[in-house]
Amino acid sequence: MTSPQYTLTSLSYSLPILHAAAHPSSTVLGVFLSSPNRTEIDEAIPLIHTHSTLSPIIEVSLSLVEEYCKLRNKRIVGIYIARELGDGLGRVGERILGALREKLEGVFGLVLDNDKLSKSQFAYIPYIPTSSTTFKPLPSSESESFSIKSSSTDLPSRLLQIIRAKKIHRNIRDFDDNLEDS
Amino acid sequence: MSSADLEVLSRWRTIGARHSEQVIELGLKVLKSGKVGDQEWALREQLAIAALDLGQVELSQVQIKLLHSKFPNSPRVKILDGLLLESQGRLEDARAVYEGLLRVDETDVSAHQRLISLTLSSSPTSAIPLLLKYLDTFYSDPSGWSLLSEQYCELGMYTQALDALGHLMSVQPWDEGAVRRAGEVAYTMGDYQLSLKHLLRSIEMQGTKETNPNQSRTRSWWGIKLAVSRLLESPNSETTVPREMQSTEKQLKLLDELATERILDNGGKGVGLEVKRKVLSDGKDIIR
Repeated sequence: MTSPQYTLTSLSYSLPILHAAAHPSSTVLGVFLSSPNRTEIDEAIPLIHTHSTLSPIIEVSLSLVEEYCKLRNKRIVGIYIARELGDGLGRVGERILGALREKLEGVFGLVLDNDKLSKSQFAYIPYIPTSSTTFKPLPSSESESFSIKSSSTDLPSRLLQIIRAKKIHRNIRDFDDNLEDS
Repeated sequence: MSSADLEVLSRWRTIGARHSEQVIELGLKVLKSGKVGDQEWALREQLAIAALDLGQVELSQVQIKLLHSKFPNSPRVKILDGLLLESQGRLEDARAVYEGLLRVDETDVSAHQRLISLTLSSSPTSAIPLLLKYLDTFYSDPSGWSLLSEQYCELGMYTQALDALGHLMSVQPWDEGAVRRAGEVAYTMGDYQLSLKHLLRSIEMQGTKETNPNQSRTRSWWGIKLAVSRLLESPNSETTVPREMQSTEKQLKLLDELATERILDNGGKGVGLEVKRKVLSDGKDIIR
């Protein structure tokens, strides 16, 4: 299957990294949205940073995002995950993508990679669906499939600078934060 | 304001919160102001650990050195030496430090805990047998049971995770977070009747209006809403809860209404609220 060509707006590129920076010792997870039939990923929504192996809150947050999409004429095109330990999508990432795949065949996952992040490169490894039920990492020969929109070629390094200088990641609130009301 | 900062840092030490970035910021500020008093050494230890979390090795080394001069030969400070080695990737050297501490005193809980933590990053599956052995001796360590449950969850072994939470709940019976967690694990396993029991109990444990003015328990109510939806859809789903203790259809319908009301009550406006209403009114669309 040929991989689609997606562009990420600077916000969509940055948000997962901010989310990860806000919770550096946990697995964080969120979704990417785009308008139907368009390949620009223009929205990223941070979902959880605790208990990533438990389903209820993940189910709720995904359902809420789905409804949001209906209201705003958007669709979930992918997820992002930055894992506490280990490489790849992990069991939970695969499971979520598997469920989302029923609604959109081309759904993808972007896994935050520490190595790339620290080198100020495009910080994600994309995982795309295979012909069966699994997902595999995009080979580096096809790395152009995911790119950052327009003139933001030095966004990766600028983002790290801003995080360190201005601590903007401290303003991220995800769904888990929303539930911290008791 | 120095004393407020001191309080915050002290609270984080008590609950074991990890906010390493803020710890460094506040900690340095407080130390600089000189108004630390007898909290200085606990603070320096906290700062040393936070610094390692953020890769600020030098800052950590300064604190550790000061702690060594103040408390020579202290096993507690020696743990920090081990942590420093761990942060530098020198895991075998760190292991040697912890094993050395255990030879002197085999009840050194921190040394045991660090040895277990070492396996978490190198070979996660071997952490479980180590944890089980540790908990055989140190049965009442809640962090051990909590970690065990987490490790089982990572592997998808939810029955065992639930067992571990059972031990955690008996060791810390007031901990409503553990009860809610048990509810979420039971849900993940597909035992919705059991999940409901735990989640309802967690709500109860958070107190009535008299004891606890904050009545929102949104996380638990969402869990209840989901479990109830699943049960209304498939009333005969498998459960470990005996028949006579299961929630009836009538109770489920009432709970459904109550959960919806409680969740909506807890706020939200605009798009957020509209989205919530839709999801709450038509459970069929929930992504599973």
